[in-house]
Amino acid sequence: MTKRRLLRWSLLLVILAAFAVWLEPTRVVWGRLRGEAFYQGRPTSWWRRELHQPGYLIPVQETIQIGETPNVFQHFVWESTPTWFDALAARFCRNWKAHVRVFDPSDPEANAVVQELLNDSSWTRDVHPAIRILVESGIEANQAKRRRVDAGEAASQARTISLSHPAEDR
Amino acid sequence: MKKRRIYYLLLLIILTAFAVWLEPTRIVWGWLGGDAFCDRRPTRWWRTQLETVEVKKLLEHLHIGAGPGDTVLVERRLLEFHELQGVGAWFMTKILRRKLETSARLWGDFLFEDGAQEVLAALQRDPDPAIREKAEALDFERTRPLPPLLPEEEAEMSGKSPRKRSNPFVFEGVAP
Repeated sequence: MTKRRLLRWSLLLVILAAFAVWLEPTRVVWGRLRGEAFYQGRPTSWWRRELHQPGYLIPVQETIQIGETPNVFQHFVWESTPTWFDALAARFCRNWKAHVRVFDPSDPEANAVVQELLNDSSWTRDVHPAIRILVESGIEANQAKRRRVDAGEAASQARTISLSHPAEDR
Repeated sequence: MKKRRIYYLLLLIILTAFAVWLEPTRIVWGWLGGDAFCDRRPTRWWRTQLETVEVKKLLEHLHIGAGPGDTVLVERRLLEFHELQGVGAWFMTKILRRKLETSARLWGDFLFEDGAQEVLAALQRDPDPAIREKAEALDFERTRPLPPLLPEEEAEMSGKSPRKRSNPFVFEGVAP
């Protein structure tokens, strides 16, 4: 009898725990169980849903000085709009800091999440083009920066070689 | 009688001058000063609106090799949009009963309007370096290349005029 009761209670507990995990808004447990990548303490599944929410696309311009010319690369960073609570609090408290969430696809720590999002064909097919561009722009900017730096390095090495062996150049 | 008429005329001129001076859209001022116009607003009005734009600068090290010194310096400029504060905002909301536009919406819509290029060019010649910097950053966004078309967009666009750019700074969200 006691054993049966224990079994019943355990079953109920397991069902409740599973239900709690399923409903959990941050998706952290769900993400850990599924082995998802994390960014800013949130798993890919959470970001997948979050990036459907209204937000601002903050333009970022990055400049790298290679040789004489500055090279500029562009991408976007997503920032959530303040919640009604933040908007209300800001009206009464001048120094109120809104709890906005920021997704920077060019951040190396976001790489794994970005890759998981882009590898998910259903996500890339159904996602709004603005968000797909946001995610891709971070990767493209990083790749372009890397290519430009490598090309700049190669050029400076070639210049060093030609300067050290002027006779061979002629 | 003639004296009274002169008085009234003078009063009218003073009131008109005062109205022009206070005019929040700066249209008459802009027209008198030969400003470039965009979306029916002169350069000087857009200049005031630049208060809502902030160019945040950060310096970061980009790792290009495995060693601790293998880095290049990257200057990061973030364009942040804020809401208009002060007397202008108070006048618009309390007196004119206008709803203030979100700054990101205002500037995102401005970029691809006719005349934006001329207004930004004028602002890039402004004596204030902060204004010049903001205008330059916005102009750079204006010329950001369009992303490639999606296959379904390509089919939709075939034979039509070039696609209109939507506001690049605001994402309205999508229903789950």
